[in-house]
Amino acid sequence: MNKPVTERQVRTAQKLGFVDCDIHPMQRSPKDLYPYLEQRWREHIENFGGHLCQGLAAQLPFPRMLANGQRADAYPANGGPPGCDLELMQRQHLDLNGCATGMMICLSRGGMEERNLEFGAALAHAVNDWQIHDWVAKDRRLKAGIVVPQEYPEFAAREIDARAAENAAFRQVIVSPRSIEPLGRRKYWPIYEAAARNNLVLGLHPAGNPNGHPSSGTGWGTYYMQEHYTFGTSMIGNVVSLISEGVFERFPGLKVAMIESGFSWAPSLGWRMDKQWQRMRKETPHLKRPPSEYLRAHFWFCTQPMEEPENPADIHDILGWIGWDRLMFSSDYPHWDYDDPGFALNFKMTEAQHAAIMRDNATALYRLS
Amino acid sequence: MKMPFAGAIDCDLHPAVPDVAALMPYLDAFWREHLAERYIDKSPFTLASYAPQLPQSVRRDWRPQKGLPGADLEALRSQALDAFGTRLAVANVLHGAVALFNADMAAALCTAINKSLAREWLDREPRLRASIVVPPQDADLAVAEIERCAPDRRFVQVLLLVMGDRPLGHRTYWPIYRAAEKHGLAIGVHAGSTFRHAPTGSGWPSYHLEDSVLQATAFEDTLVSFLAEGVFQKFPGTKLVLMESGFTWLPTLLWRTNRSWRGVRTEVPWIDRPPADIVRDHVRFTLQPLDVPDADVLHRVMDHVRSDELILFSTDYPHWQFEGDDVLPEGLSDAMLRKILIDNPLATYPRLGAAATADQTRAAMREELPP
Amino acid sequence: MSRHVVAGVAEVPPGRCKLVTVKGREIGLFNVGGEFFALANRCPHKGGPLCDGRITGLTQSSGPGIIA
Repeated sequence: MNKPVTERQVRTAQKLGFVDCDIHPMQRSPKDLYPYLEQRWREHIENFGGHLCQGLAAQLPFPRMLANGQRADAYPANGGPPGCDLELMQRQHLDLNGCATGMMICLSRGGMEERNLEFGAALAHAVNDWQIHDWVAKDRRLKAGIVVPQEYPEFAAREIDARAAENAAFRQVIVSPRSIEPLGRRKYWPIYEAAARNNLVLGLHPAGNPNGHPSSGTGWGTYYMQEHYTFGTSMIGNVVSLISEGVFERFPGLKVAMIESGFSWAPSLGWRMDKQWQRMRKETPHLKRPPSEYLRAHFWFCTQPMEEPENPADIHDILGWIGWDRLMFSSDYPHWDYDDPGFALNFKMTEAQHAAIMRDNATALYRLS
Repeated sequence: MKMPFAGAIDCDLHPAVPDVAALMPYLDAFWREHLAERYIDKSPFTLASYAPQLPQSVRRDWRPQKGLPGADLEALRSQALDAFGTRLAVANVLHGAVALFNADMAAALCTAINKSLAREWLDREPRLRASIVVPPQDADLAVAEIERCAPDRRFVQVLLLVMGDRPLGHRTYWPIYRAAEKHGLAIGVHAGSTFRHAPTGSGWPSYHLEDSVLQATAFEDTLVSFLAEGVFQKFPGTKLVLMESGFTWLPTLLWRTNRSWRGVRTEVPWIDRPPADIVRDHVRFTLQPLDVPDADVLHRVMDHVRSDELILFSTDYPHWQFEGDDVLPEGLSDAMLRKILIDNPLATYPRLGAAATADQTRAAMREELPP
Repeated sequence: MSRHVVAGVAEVPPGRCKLVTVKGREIGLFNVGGEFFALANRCPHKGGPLCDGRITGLTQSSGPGIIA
């Protein structure tokens, strides 16, 4: 029944004091942000609400699977959505599994896809306040990500500078990867400049709300099965853009965390980019190195959703190609495809490799110690 | 690595229609007049994905002095067929008609393309077979063209570009797959975009380099579309051939769809077995480009996908995928070579014809093997 | 094999699960149409607590868009 093996993994995870690179706190309702919004914006929420690029006002056009995409057992007994109750998060995950550090990814209500840019800025600012006051202040294990509206780069840069100076709990910058232009494009460079200036990681995590484009170059899918797959493929588009536009030549210190985007695609992408670039080099003279070298040097990957090769040992090829120093454990608590730290990594590895993935790589990237 | 023996079956090469004038004999009176009146007969109908000046569109030593790459039969004979000892080759004509919005005009042009293909290429070169070029804008018009071409057994496949109006598994395209299944035609999805949508979920990249790289992700999304929409359940005879798609992204797709299937099954309950198994049964990939840096990687990726039946030999002539005669990657065993060069293509295209049965091809091969 | 009395039959109504603990192991008791089953409360795939999940049937389909 594999029980002894899994119990050993659980005990090891607990002893390690692992870093969870993807946790999703959630507001109970928009009112949770009211303490951090001016009256003008509270009224705006009540009189107008969000203005997004989708046909449904208050739900995603691709509905999620089980329990609105959440763990069925993560709904708090006293109401509210999964992730809104710190005590349940602690009991069910942080304390239970021995999490030493949790990186919060707070895309919801963060204003990144809001078409009214001033409103989006106010929301992002409020979510950043909320992260500190409602979460970091109450559980020191939690770290925050500076949520910024990528379509308003001037505000985003100011917000990054302000937050980085204000609180060391902010360890990365979060934008929506469902941007209006591919993220490598120059309009977004003030954001990367601010992130690099403040030594902050750029965290990319799939977003639910579209921002003007179908999820795929092939058009809109029909089923959530397809939409879910585009979390990987559309992220690849942004990786290619960041590399091809020369963002890493301009900002050589910039580091990117790919969160909930998968990782087994990275070696294949590196080979393909290199092959195309070999014969197309004259188009991009600003690239001084093969694209795969930028990929290797500037990108880190989170484990969730963990890849499940048909032959589990095949994962070793992927990790060898990506680098055992590049993978970081993430749980995606409280979502339905949550990866349990005691069960997710079901392949052989050394203790050092396990510690690297569960703790050391993230500690180094986010400069946690 | 060079071709080790003669008799291979090339599953992706690109003869070109030289210009609209070449199609005029195959258009009816209205379209001849209409295209001339609007000066459309002067339009090159080159796809943006394969604009002739782009590096990937034509290998330097295959670029003709004049005219479009791939438009000259003699050059194709010598450079693509004779050069590799090819016994049979499947012609995929990439033409801008499929990128128009006017479906009737597209359909008229596609009919003319297929007629010219039969007359100017297949009649003159017995080694050639072809895909039926259809107007993706209108499935009914596409089916009419399939029905017209199907009696000619030299047509072995229906050709579609990977990026069009919507993901190709969608029900609006099912009449095409019904007709293809009925006639034993493969569905050939080739790289290339009509740019109805931004190539990425985040909009329009700046560089051709990005468009080229991202063709692979379009193929992934397309394959997931075929799986999710249940095309392989609805049309169990379907053979889907992905052409110029790359291959190294496949393990990720097999693993991810297998994993997510467990969770999304209630939404798509017609998927009644692991998606990886469905792919191995129904989907094939032409060889070029493989995107592997060396033989070690090739072996690992082949292990990951757990099948030696997936790859079909191709040159992708005159596109630029390899140098000189190094049409094959290093590191393939003799058994794999026979599969890629002969067996897998024959199994994928039952219409390749009596002259191309495995026994006869292997017999011919044995005569040509080195002593 | 040792025997453990963990619950009365009436405590597990049809279509429901009851979680019991036997010698430190969490076991889920399930009543499927009057037949009783016991499973470790830990999914063999990724360890999820089975008793906290949604109990449902297996959706069957004979083709795209068709249920049953």
